[in-house]
Amino acid sequence: MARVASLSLLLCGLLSAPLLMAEPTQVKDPISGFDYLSAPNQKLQRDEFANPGYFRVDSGKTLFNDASQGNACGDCHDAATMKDVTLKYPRHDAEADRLVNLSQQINECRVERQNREALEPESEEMLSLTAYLGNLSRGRTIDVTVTEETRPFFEQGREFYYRRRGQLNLSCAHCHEQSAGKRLRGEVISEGHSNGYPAYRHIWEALGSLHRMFQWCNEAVRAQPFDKGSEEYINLEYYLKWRGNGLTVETPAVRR
Amino acid sequence: MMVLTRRRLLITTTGLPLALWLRGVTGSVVQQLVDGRELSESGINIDMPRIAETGNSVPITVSVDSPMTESDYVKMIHIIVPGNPEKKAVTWHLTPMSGKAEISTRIRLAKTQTVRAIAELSDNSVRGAGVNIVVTVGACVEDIWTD
Amino acid sequence: MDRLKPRVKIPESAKPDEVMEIRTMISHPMETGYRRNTRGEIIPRHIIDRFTCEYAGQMVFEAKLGPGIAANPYLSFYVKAVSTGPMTLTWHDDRGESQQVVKQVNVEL
Repeated sequence: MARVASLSLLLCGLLSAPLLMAEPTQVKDPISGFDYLSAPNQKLQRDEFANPGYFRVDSGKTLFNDASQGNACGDCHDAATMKDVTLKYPRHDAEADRLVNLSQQINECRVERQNREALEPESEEMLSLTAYLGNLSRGRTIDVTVTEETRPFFEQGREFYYRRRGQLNLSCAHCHEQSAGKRLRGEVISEGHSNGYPAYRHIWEALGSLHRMFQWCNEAVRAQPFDKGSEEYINLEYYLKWRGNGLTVETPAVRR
Repeated sequence: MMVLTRRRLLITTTGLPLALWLRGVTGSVVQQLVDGRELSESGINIDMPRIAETGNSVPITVSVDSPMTESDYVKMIHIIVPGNPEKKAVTWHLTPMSGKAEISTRIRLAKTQTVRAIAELSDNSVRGAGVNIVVTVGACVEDIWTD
Repeated sequence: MDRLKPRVKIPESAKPDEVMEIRTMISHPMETGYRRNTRGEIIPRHIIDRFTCEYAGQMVFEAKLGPGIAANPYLSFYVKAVSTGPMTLTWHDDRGESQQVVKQVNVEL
């Protein structure tokens, strides 16, 4: 009896799989990584003095208004009107027909409008600027709408999310969708949302970007990571953001 | 029936409180600090999470009951971490100007261990407290495969 | 030392004998000297080993730190308000470098 039941369940799963692929379902009531933290770490994230991520928020604010090498970011952009800016990235660049994330947008501004050199994705300056801008959006709700232009990139991001990779042969979904809430050694697996990044991770003892986290995850399943800022990671970033629709921005979050 | 073990013999002969010994012996570091004085286990408190989900950063607050006046104050507080490569994490020097003997910081714990606080007071008395902290992921297990 | 500014919270004003909470945090790796890099080489020790707080013409609080203090050292303690004047916080590391923050404390009835 049990065998018949499990077989029919399996068949149901197989039959419904193509349907799911055709029309992706949102995570219902997504759970932020915050909810998987211990009480002391939740307290640390909320503490705007003691949360070490705020070092970069502070220096990002200074950099944003730094006019020592020509015009500052703040000369064109009024920070008060930028509270939603991180919610809009990655955005579609019609000319190049690709997605552009916030780091790339910052570099575009630097090179084309500020006559400065582009920054490395994980440089101190880039982390500071993205942490500062992310922090402006703290508390705002993520609400990504997939459009006709962004659909192909969204699909590529989703494909990446469900693809098995590495020597452990695991996809993102195996851990963060099918096993969220279960234990992996001493830790509880989270749903893997991106709403806290750039985030201060205790294991890094530093603030790091979402793409650094992607690399960390890829290496954890013994897969060759992609470059920070690669097309693969930017499409995944877009898909993940959509997957976390309804969550609020927590930058700079505290994570294990 | 009392069985004479090496540990019991040591406890009785050195006069150190039993509870402190049984909660995991830190031996020389604590002994050096106490330096033969009587160790009181009251009037000192350690506030920290009993389970640390990461040993890289564990919040700790140590408080000592003291009026903090010129004639009666806490001179020093030490935090001892016997399970770490270096047993003394920090020493704080206080003065009557401190007003209140309560200090917070964040420490590293390499593994599950009994964290101790030892306070030295202006009247030359010593107080000690200890709490067992379970560490699920220890410090110093740096991300070997990244960067 | 990292050029990020230390984070400090000191009350701007206090009443005489009021016990003020001082919160501090500095950006520093607190490299223990026990870790190895991917090539198996020891990463040299680099820690903040001393912190001082001077106020009203005297050293009111001092800390001697070891590698058991977490990266980006956080420290909060108390100081009794006695007179108007500067409070000087100094972090020293084991490479002879230091960072300092001076804040004015106003003490009035």
